[in-house]
Amino acid sequence: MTSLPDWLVERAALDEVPPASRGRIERADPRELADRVAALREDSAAELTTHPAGPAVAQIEAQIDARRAAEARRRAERQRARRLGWLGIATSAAAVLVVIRFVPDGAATDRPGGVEAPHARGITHDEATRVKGVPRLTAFRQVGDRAERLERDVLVHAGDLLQLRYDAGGQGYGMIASVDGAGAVTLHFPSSEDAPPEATAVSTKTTTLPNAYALDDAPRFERFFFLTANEPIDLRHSLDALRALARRADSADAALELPAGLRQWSLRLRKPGHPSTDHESP
Amino acid sequence: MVLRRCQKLLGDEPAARDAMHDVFVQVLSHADELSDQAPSSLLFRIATNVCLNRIRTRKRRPEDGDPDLLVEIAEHTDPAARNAARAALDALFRHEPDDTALIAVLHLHDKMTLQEVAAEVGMSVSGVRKRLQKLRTKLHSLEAPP
Repeated sequence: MTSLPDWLVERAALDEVPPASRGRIERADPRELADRVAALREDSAAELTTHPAGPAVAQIEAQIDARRAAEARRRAERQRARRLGWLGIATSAAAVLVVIRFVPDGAATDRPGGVEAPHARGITHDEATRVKGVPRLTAFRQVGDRAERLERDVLVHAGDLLQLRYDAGGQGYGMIASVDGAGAVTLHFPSSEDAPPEATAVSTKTTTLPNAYALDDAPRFERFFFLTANEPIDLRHSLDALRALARRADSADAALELPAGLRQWSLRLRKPGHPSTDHESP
Repeated sequence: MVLRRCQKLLGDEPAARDAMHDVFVQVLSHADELSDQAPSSLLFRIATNVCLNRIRTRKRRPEDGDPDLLVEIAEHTDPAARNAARAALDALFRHEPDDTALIAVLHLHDKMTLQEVAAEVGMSVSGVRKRLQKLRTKLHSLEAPP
């Protein structure tokens, strides 16, 4: 008779044994099962005594409320952007009509659309992007007791200790991740990919990440991405995009496909086995 | 149950509590879409995925070391190649979709039968068997000397 695994004892304690596992429960030593169920219940009761559920529930509810509020803001922003898009089209169309109606025929023929088009583009551009600066990511390598700034395509090795620093360029939210030559995606900021979008809020000042980390032996390259936005970033979607890139054969050079509203800065470092020292563009 | 699951996978009390918090945020954020059938199964699965994501995220931070979970899985594959398996598994899971890692953990770490894994992840038994077979084949090819 084999001992039941922990997960199955947990299900038994909750009276939620799945049909596929009922045979295992029936074959188990009833005394052993009863003892383990009792031990789990004792452990749960002790946990609730030392860590009452109330404060944790309040914290979780606050986090969920914040997540829903951010989602509502994103929806409103998308609707607003769509309305502005239509407004831009309508403004262009109206301006074209005005030009055709009031400008002499010869002038309209000489400068087709030259008066109204910049105006229409200006409305959409100013409202949608609000560019204040250029987000930038800088990598440093520890060399003895000093930090060496790493330029793009510099050669790095397994075991090198790297430190990252960012400047969000006036944008409010950001995430930092890297893709390596073995197809792995590593999130550097925020600290967990389960973090809510609000956790992507970035400092307005140049900021060094709290953790340095050692490069592993993944071959060819390590490519860092700094994604920024004016709204909280959905980490799951962005990481999915990075993982899709990581699976590509040309992941060292290919563009990262991102949803609208996200900006990206990338920095590639070469590792042994990389064939070239080609460009990397922000 | 969720805390115990997170402690077992992460082996670290503060990280487990933090992960447990995330599990409930994820579950309650989608409360409208949940059915009331076997909530423990859903919590177990979400907790496993949250912990696997955390293991992936922290894997290269120097203070964390090698995750014991992957070593434990390695020990169930080929006893003759355990040392190579440690490095090979890291490469192996990098390229696999999330649910393959979940299937491997449920079967190899949690000792679920193929039928139990299939019920847990909503796949057919043959689908689970194929995934595990592919994983083993890939693992052995990674372990094979060049």
